[in-house]
Amino acid sequence: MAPKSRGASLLLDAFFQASSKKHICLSCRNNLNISRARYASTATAQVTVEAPPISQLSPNEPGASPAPQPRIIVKAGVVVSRPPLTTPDAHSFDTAFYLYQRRLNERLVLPFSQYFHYKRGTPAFEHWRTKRRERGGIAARDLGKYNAYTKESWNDEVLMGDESAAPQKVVEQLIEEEGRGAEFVGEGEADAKLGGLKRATEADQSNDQKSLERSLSRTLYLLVRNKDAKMSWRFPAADVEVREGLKEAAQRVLGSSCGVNMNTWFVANHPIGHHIEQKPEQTSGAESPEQKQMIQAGDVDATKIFFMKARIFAGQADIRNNSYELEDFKWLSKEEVEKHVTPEYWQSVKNMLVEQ
Amino acid sequence: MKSSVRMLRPAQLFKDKSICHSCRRELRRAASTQAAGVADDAPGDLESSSFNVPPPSQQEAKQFDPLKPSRQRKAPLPSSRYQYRSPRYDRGPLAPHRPPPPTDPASRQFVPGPFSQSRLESTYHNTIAPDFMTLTYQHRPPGFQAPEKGPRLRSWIGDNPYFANRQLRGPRGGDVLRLLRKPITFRNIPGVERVTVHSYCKDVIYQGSGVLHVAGMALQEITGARVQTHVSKHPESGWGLQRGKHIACTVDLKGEQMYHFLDKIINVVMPRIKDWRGIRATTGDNSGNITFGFEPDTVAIFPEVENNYDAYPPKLIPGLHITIHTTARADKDARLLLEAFGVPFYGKIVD
Repeated sequence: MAPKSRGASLLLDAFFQASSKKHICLSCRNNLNISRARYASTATAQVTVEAPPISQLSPNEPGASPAPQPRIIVKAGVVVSRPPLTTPDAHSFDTAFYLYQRRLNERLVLPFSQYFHYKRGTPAFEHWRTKRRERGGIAARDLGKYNAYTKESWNDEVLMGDESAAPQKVVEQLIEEEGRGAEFVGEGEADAKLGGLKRATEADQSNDQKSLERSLSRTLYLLVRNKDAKMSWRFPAADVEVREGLKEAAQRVLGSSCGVNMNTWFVANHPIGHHIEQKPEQTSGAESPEQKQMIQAGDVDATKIFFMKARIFAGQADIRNNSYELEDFKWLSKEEVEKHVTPEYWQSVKNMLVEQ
Repeated sequence: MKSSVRMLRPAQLFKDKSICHSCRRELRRAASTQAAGVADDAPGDLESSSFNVPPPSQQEAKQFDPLKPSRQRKAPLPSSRYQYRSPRYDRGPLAPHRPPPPTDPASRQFVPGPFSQSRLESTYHNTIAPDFMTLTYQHRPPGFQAPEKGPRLRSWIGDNPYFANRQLRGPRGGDVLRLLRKPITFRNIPGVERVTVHSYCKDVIYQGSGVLHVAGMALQEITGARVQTHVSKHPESGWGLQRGKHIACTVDLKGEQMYHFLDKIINVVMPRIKDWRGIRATTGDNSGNITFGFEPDTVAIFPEVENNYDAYPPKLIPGLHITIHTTARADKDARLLLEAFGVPFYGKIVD
């Protein structure tokens, strides 16, 4: 190999190693015409046929050659998700940064105009004044022990173990000041301090992955598993029937796999992603008898699953009477989905799922 | 090994290919790290975080008093040790003293914040924006070229010699060039840019400036930002309006304050308005900005006003106009965005 081409291969190796982490978009890849195979074999001459620009969708082109069509099974899949119900869990850095900015702001803004908000001599004023004294004469409730109007106000850093401005503490103090925390919790519940405001539920504590009340700050996705032990977890999917669009197929699949007891909204008429399985060997239980025979005989070249996006508003999945031999279902967040599915499936699915 | 890399610089290798800037940068970086022999898997060497340092012991933490040194000091420090005054003007890169950047707390332009995580903003990022992109996606097969449209500005065609080099004509049916609506991708999902709250107090003409003071106070209470007043530019004898009179006040909201205000009007105020059908669907300026109004009765529903209702003189609570500036290029998209936020619209939709 000539030194120059060795340099090129070195560079491209570097590029490919790096590109496993760094992002090179697909169109740029096509423009660069980079493929491992091409650079591995030096003598392959690549002939690219320029496709004519498509300005109209014409299914029956006159010049189409009768080449053997690959046998492909098209399936419709459903990505049902429950959007987050609470704000994301704040990182400790976020919390510290917000508090620092609040204390800084307190030193820069005009002081709280208490006589505009509380008229002198009213019960509200007395209540406010008592509580203010308890806070050490500070008007704001979310600053902790910090007075912005002294000579030593430059000392605004939170010391170790000082929880007086922690978000949990601030909420507790607010509810205590209002004095109505017990109204919003059930009989005999000891948790009146937070007035029923909880970020973690019982389903979180027991890690009940079938519950929709788990992981309130995350998006949860519905995954199912087949009775066949070889099949891993995946989104509900089944064949598209004749004269049926992807959306109708997806709605039918959802109904016949996870029951009709779910109030869902299909976001669009087009898919948000796809997964291709080359030379499928296992049947998933969602095929017609002929297709099952074809798969077992190895006659099918590929299975293509197109995923439709749906949101759940109410209800719960129920797989008792499903028609696809499903055994189990789970509502999982993005990281949990990665642990449950196969790596190939994850590669085609991961970009459809939102981070939070 | 290194010499061969030097012979074939990545810039030359990828120069003539048509790839986008970000990919070219990635390629260059990949090639340069390989050439320098830097392991790509160890970026942590350069970044050290205070989170990785073990915390001091409980004993040390308990004994630490940040005020002790300053209290023990007998004589005060010279003021140059703790006072810094930013120069008022930036006199260019050659000036000996330049003001710090606006993000520095010592800067004159410094504005603190953000102070909290906005509920509506996180909903926008994790739910609304992905759904919006899915909803408005239009599939183009690879190689698709959209049919060419005629020019937006027409040229002058004819024998007239004055047509040569004449400025182009406007579009047919009006002289307004509307914004172009591009296909929505992950790069241009519409979002809320800023919100303007405006109150025009015509009673200032007959009742004096007190009306404007009350309106300003109410606006400041419900938005949490300082109010700017506006002077009338033209006299209007029919209304008794003189030139140069303070007649209106506005607040411009951005960022965290904007999201808190939107969250408040959508989830607290709007559901409590009586006999209200929503915002008229014909509103909008054809370029993605939606305006609607609130009556004085509605302004009284705002929690800040309602809890402190006695502080406002009777019948002086102002009405408001609220303009939501979105980054959408068409009203249709702006309306879809606001509907996703939870704003109700009613009536015939005109696009």
